[in-house]
Amino acid sequence: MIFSGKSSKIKITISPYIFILPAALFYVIFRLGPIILTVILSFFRWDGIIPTSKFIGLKYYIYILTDPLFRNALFHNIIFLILAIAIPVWIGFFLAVLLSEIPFFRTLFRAILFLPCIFGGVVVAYIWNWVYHPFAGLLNGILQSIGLNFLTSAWIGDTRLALLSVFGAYSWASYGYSMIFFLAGLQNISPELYDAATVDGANFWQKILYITIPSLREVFTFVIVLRILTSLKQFEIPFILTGGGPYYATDMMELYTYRFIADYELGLACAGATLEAVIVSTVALLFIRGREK
Amino acid sequence: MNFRTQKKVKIFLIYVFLIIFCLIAVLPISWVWLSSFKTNREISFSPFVLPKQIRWQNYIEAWQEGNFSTCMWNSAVVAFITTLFVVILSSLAAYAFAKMRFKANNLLFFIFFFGMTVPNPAVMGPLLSLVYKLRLTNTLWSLIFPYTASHLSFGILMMRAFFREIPTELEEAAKIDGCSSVQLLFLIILPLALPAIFVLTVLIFMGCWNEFYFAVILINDASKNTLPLGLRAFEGQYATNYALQFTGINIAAIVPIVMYIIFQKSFVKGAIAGSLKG
Repeated sequence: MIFSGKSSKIKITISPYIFILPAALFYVIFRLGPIILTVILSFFRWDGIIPTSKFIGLKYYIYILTDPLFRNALFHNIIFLILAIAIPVWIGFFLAVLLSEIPFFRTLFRAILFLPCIFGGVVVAYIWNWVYHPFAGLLNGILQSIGLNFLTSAWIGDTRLALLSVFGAYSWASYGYSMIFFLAGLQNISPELYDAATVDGANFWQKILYITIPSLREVFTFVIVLRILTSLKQFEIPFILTGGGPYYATDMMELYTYRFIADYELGLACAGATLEAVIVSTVALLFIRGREK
Repeated sequence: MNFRTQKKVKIFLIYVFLIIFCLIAVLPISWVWLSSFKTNREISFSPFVLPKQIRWQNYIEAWQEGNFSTCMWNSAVVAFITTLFVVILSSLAAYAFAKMRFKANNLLFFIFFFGMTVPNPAVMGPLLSLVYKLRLTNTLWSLIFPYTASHLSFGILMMRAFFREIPTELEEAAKIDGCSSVQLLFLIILPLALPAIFVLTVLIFMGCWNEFYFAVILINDASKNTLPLGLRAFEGQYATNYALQFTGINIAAIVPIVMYIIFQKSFVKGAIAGSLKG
């Protein structure tokens, strides 16, 4: 027994790296390596499939930062971000509160309400492509059938409404996430708090404002960070629905860098991707820091 | 109005509101589903009427013209192999991170975690070059390897959290009985971790099934299309074939829906855990 104890000690000092090695190989070759190279190669001339060794410094970054199309794309991402924090988060919150109030069919309602979240961006985009169809689409059809003909529109084809329409599809596919997180959070609030508030004569809204929302502070932080990340990294939904159009009205950062990749302007693509990564992580970290204070 | 009726009215209003919201959630999907049984004419001219005749033919045509059998097969192969890789590799690594003491533990774990926080475009340029140099252009491997690598961080994070919950007394008892680390992992820890592995499997499989960004950039050969790419085939050079596009959307949506109905709990758990990888 004593000897076997010694031999197992030796095993432990050798084996951790053997357990990690297979995962590390994949990760270094296909993820970490490319990430590091992206940053390095964004300073070198690279158009075509193989990078060159010609150092060009910040040229690609200057090109992108002075490109009005990039600012246009970033602007749309920021609008998306603000709307994403304002709308799907609160829809999810109120659905969760309502679900926790009802006596029957809670699981069924939750299951149906979460359904839009199970599809990938492509299926969501194609479904909404039809909802927004100007002649045969569901949305205009509903508006006409309830006599609101003046509200019908081309939606994704209308430069003024396109971004909001893309956002509608995104919201539909994302409020469910907020809902399930808030539902999980609501279970942790002690019912005694509500009982005490009822005794004090608080109404429904006062309870939400003074008990529910403050108790869910951490869930709110998490759900909002999730919206920050997804709204700044939008790709599939605008790509399929509008392709960034009409007239770049729904263009976003990830579509902007995608065009460089499609044109084999890989140096510019690397610089664009690096900028995107920096912007996304800065916004997320600043938000988390701000909430911690 | 006394307190009880007031409360009943409130509950009733909540149900009404929830039903309206459920309609918003379900209507777009069910409408696409119904329309997939219509002719192109019906879709354009009577979009809100039930189909006169159920046209199963659309499904047969979509299957043939859209090459859906190829797309389904490719998606299944990519999702299956990737899930297998991720589950095995991340369980092994997570076991070391959760249960073994070594110097670089935290540092290595952080390096793995880092990959999850970086958006996908930040690997694309070098990845294209790498795929070209490895002669993997337009092969399913050009998707499987990057998918595996991008899901590994999350797999390790999730499995590590689960392994840490397993009490150390159990391992100590097993070690006294003469279990080696490898035996310990396969005979004791992994069977206990089956629920977590199952959630991870559902999550990774669906992630691969729905993935579009890598696929649209790396695959340029229709015979290697995955389902999300196959859907674009109906947009056509001349005119979109509406009936077939509806049908295609349904074929692509059917796997998530069926899996969701069967594994609802794992789906929600997976979504809660998976949203971390954002």
